[in-house]
Amino acid sequence: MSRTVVVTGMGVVSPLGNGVEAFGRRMLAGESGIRGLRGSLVPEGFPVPYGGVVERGDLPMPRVFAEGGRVPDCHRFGVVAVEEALASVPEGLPVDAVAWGTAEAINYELVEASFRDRGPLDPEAVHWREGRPESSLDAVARALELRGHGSPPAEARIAVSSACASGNQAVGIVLQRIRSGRWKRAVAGGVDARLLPANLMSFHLLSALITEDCPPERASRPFSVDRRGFVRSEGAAALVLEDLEEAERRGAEILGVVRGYAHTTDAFHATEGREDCEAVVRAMAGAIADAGLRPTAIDAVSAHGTSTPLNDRLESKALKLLFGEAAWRTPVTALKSQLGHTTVAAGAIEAVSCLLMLREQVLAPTLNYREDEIDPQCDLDYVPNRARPAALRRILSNSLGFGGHNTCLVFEKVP
Amino acid sequence: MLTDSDLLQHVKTSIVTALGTQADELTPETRLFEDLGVDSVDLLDVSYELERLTGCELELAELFRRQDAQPGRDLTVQQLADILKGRLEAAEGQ
Amino acid sequence: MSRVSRSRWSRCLLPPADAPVEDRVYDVYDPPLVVARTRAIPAATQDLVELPDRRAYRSLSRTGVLLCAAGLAAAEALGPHLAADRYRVGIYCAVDPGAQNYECARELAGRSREDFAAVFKQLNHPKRYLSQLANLPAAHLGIFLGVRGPVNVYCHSTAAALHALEQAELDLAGGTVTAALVCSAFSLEDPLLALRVRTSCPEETVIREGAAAVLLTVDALLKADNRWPRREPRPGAEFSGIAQPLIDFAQEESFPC
Repeated sequence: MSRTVVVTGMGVVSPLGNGVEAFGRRMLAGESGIRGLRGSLVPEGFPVPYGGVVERGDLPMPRVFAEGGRVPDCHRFGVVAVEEALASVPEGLPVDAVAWGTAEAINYELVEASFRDRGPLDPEAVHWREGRPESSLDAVARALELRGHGSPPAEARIAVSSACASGNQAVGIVLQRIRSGRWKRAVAGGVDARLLPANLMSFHLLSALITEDCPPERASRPFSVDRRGFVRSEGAAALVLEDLEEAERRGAEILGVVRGYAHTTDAFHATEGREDCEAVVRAMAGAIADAGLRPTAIDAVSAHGTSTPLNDRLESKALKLLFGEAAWRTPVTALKSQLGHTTVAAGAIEAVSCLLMLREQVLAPTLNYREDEIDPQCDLDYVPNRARPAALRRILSNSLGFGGHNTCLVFEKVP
Repeated sequence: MLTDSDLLQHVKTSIVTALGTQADELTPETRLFEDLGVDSVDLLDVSYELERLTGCELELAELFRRQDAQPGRDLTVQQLADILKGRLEAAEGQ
Repeated sequence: MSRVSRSRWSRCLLPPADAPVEDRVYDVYDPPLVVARTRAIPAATQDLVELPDRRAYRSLSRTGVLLCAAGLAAAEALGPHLAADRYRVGIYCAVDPGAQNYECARELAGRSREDFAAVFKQLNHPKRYLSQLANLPAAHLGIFLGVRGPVNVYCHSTAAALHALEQAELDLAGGTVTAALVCSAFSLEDPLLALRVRTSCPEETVIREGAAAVLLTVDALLKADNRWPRREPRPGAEFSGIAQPLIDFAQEESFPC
């Protein structure tokens, strides 16, 4: 038996605002969360001038960290987002699992810190223990336990890595297991706290980032003729997904329905998509079919829309192959124009944006899209520059990751 | 100043290091895109190795964008050496 | 959760019996970091397997190459499934993210931040970052094999192999795929990872490199409960970190490894 899976909570930490309401307000107001980094996060003269930075000033410090000590951003962002999502889940109600897109590892900063002390490496030093990819999941699990939701075992703390597709994949993992009855209620999300010089340089060396001298808020230009690469960003988002019957039984407010999911792979290149777009089309069509729908049932698309020359061209091509003539009548919005690219968290943050658009019946804009000169290969309706009201029932959300992972979700408004 | 033969050798060494190509597969006429299947990231990698060997920074990504826009145009090993020579001479002139 | 899949093929890559147990010395640190009681596969990374595309060595860690070595051996067994529908073949991978560039970090640890960009650029070829991404070994494997179904990568340091096996089981049971290649690898390339695994194990446990790949398909007649392998090291047994549960699974399944 396949159960209906609904969203009963969401939380977000992002350069567009911390907290769903602030995020939603700024998103629909067409604001940008991108700002200059030189002289603050990076030195003057650093090759990458801008990024999406979370304002930490108004970010709560969750009580799970009350014992003090160092709190890495990836833990704090993740727990804040999860706790906001759990606000509508009564304390004591079990949460069965957490599926999480994460880039945490024995990362550059930990390794550099291990050399700074100059003496023998101390195996007891706390900082390098943070290098486990599940470390932010463990922090979330401790927060769940504090609230009386139980502590999922390791088997139910799933750290996924499919690059930019991780957030969508985390939602898909939870969707599949609630549908099958394995879980009743679980958290899906992702956190990217890697807006740091080493990560910026790594993407810069791949020529993936725009570094043009321009106002920061003008840098991310998905689908625009003058797009030059993406803007790195940080953030986190969490959704509480639940079996509909469980949600109704406890009188939960239902924020939306997760109708469908699909995952294909290009099997082509580590960083570039396949020209024929076949796998992307199959992923989008697969998610729609998984939702029991036809493409005509989709009212809008939340694109992967990274602002790279290649992705945006191929994604537009894939949408045309999927929708046919209807592609030009199906609005496509790109949150990365406002937020930048949060890699492993992107799908989760974009899920929150889809649910907000469905709630408000307003399409968020794709900023910085030049309307005076159009790239003929990117000539769809990208909701250019201004939000606009729309009758929205279902949104298709794409996340297409490095390595050729194509993950798509269909979100539906609650009737 | 490096001789033409040195420059060609540096280009070949860079390609071997970056792409894992066998050295004896490379001739001056070998075409980067058509024969070696070089893509944009490969070109960045070859450029990195060339810079390590010669100190000369090559903006090969721009070359790739030009090639992408004009299918049929390709870049041979010899042409890459010629471009390198031009950049080194220009740098020396400065 | 009951199980529907059976192992049809498997491969383990482990150090040969005569590979010595030795202290692994990481001289990137001064004084060197010594991780006691280890066994490595005695082959340079580029000699572990002949990759179909030699460019890929530049964007793969040793762990990644080891994963490909195990997974590529499945090509023949996967052939009929790929020929039938390559979108219904999936890869389910448990692997640690690739090692950082320790030499670069050591150099930069003593430098001012103003030097960071120039030194980082000098010491890292452009594809170096790709070798650190946990998902790219499986993505490369998918490219080499032509797998277009889901490629799932899990990186929980102890439970990732269980996550991979479970996802494979779910996708097979649900008909998303007809064949699931589950794979995992662990190498001693990363000093701090080796240290972490060393300190999480009893002193007498030998930490060894290893990889496994298992091909699962549905067995309609099978009636069995899931018996997921344990995560913790077994007393007296060698331990291959994140890959050990899948190595155990491969060796315990009826199909000889």
